[in-house]
Amino acid sequence: MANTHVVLNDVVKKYGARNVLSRVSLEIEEGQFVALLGPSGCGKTTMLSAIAGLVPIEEGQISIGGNVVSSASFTLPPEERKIGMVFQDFALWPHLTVFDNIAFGLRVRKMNKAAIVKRVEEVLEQVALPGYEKLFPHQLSGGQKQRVAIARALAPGPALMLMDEPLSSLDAGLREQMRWELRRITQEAQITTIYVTHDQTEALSMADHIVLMHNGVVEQQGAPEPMYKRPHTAFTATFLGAANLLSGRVIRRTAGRVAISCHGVTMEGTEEQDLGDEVTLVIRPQDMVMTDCDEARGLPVIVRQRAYHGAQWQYRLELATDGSGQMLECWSPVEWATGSQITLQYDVERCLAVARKTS
Amino acid sequence: MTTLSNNRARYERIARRLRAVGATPSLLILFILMIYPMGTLLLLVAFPHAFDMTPSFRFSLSAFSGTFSDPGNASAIVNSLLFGVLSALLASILGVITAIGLARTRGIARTILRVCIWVVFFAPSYIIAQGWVILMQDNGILAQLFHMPNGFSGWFFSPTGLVVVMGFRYFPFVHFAVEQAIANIGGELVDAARLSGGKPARVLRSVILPLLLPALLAGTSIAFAEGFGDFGFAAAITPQMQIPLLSYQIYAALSQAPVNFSAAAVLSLVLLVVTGMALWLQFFILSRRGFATISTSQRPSVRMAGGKLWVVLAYGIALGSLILPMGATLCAALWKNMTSGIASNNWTFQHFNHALITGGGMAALGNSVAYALISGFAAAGLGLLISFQMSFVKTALNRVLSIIIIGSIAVPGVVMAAGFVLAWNGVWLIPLHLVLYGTPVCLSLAYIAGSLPYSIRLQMGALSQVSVNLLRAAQVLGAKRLRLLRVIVFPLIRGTVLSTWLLAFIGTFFELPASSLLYPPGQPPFPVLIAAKFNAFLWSQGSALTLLGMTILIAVYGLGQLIVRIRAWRIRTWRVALRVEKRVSSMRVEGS
Repeated sequence: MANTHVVLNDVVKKYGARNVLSRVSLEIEEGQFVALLGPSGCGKTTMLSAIAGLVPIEEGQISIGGNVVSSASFTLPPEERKIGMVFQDFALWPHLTVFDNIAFGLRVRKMNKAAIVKRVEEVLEQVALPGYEKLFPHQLSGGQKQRVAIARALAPGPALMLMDEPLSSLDAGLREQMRWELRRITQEAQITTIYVTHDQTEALSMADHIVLMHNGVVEQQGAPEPMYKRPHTAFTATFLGAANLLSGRVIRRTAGRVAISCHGVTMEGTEEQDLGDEVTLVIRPQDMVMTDCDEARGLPVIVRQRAYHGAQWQYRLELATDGSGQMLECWSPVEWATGSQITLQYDVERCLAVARKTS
Repeated sequence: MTTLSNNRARYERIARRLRAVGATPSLLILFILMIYPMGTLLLLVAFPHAFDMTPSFRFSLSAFSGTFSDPGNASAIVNSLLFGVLSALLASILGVITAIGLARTRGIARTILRVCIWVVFFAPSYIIAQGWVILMQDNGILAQLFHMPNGFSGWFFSPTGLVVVMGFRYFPFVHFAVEQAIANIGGELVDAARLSGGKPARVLRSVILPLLLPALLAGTSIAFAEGFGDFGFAAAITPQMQIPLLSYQIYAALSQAPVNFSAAAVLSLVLLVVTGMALWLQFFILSRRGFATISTSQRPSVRMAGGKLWVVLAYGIALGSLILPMGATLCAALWKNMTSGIASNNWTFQHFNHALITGGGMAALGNSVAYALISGFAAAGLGLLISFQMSFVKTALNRVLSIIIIGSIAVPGVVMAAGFVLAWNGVWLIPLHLVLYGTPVCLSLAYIAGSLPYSIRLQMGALSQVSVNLLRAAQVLGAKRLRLLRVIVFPLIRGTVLSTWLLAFIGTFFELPASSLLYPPGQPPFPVLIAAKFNAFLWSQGSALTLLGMTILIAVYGLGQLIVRIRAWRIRTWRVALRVEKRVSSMRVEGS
């Protein structure tokens, strides 16, 4: 079993009166690739900065490798934490060559010249940029700058790598390519990585473990697939991908199934909820099928808007059960005319009832 | 399992506290250079017997009554206010004309006009003032060239003349404010007024001038503050005209027997308050401006009606304010005698020889070069440290530092110098053996105090362009503060550091108020010797030293620019070589 490498225990960080991190606790295992995911202002970058030692914390403790590095009364300076960090804007020093950028951390550690040259060559090989030592940052493309930034962070051989939205400065094509590259590099280096992103695709495709943040607290954490398929909250469901949310009340329950009165119809869903609970039903668009058959377990809807996306059509459908104007999103390869009255079938196994937050 | 031993926890608590007071060294520097001298000066206003051999800290307003019982002091304040206001009004008219004239010029004509205005802006007041005296006095340059009778310039050596030359000295302050405002007014605003039927004069009155008004008022406030507290004009012209001015009264209270510390302190306080109010007015005007003249969708800047008249007037003002006084200085330095005028056999370098060899110029020059070097390196180095602290290390003391620095910029040179006289002469320093007054150390500190606030502001401006991630990247790789400064920060802003060095060097080299009040006996720096030559009516020697000094400064400035350009040229060449090397190697790969 892997050792626990990074531990956050009841960490609180405030900016003025505002709680940016509210009693956040987290355990990250050695060698894991962890994505800190969340919308802007949720506290993910602050958490990364606290782990790096760039901001102090007000309460709680942060430990790396079994040593306390931050507490209410103490912050070990970043230069003594032996971590690597890749920044959103790369932060390559413009007046230094690629070699000097990468060698910086090695010189700080007073390595001899020959060892520095060897190590720089090694990490440049690792990021697939051999022979670029003499170039300046302004002579590199966006992807090359990104690789140099990773090489610089890797060079001193840190046990922990922090990445702050490292792909957000790149264009879409390059971002896709660099996702594979980043994963390969960190796996080869066998390094624990904490990766901050607001892009759920990045988190789902790259991470071993996702920590979803919302308003300074951990909303949900776990492996990507269970997080996507079994969200605990409506926020998790919508943040990790498109989802239709319907409000209702539990009127009947059997083992693993609930019947929910919802917009004038009774729908079935999975999850343990109590009778009478106000819940939100979560159904992802790809788990619904549009049909003109009038079947019992289906929702009557009217096609209000549609958009052609090549392989599929995207539809905005109005629920025709109670006149509430509730809209649903659905995708289909079949073309339906605007105004068509159709039935929407859904997979009960993929229809989740989650507790509705009353705050 | 997490561990934290007791010893380590104690060490870390101490380290954290030390980090929290990281701004203390910066605060200590500013205390020695600014807070202590200005604090002492203010202390003496309320406790006039604090400097007695048996100091008494009993509160008394006797310093005020004593100071204002001297009618010279009261009239000096009135004179300074009057001349300050009138010269600022004249400067505002001249500054608007030169700004509009500059907006109408292009190419080399624009460059020449700009350079003239910048030279007037940078030239020390006392040098310009002496130039005007040499030009206008009986048997002066103008009288020799145009055979003017004695007394022809009686009007000039009167309050009217003083207002005129002060206006010509301070117009650049208004010019720079208005120049920027004109550049920011989009041409479409004037086009809209013209299309609505407005004639050029109406457009100027109803559109352009109202848009320029905030900048004009701000520039006029600065011109007033500069004129009110200027020591150069007071030192050069007051003795000639018998018109007491406030800054000269402060100097006289400290340098003429009987020395009157209380009067110097009270007069300094008056100068400080009035200057501070004028500068506050400038900030207030700019902050209250209810409209923006800059937008992202503007067409080219406004074009003023009035043709070439603006350009001719602008050239007349700029050249007149620079060439007349400096030309007179040049003639006085290079003519054998004043009576033979521009005759070919009347030109010589002998005054340089006399001034340097027998007139003590060489020693004074050496003193000032040494002081300027010390001030340059200290202001640039300490400025880098403090600006780094204020930009990137967040502590509660940073706001205090910021207030002290902005406040120090507003303190006139003569007030700062008076503060140094009082602070480093205090009886409480005798047992500590720290009476620095009259030593080179005290003068060096005063020079640094004068240059440091500008250095910090300039370097903070440069550091604001440096992404904090560039420093964080180095920090997480293990770099401590000194390495950060040496390897990352300094190389990134070295151009600005060099500029602050040059500014401090040039400012110190020709600095008069602190030099006059604080120089060690028998070791006058260059500005004091120049002023002494003029006061002794040795016009030619004084002018020769002035020219020599300006030549040295231009050479130093040129050298600084050369270093920057050579460095840029080397980087460019290196980059081209790298590109060629890369291209050649890729061609080889393709060929193989």
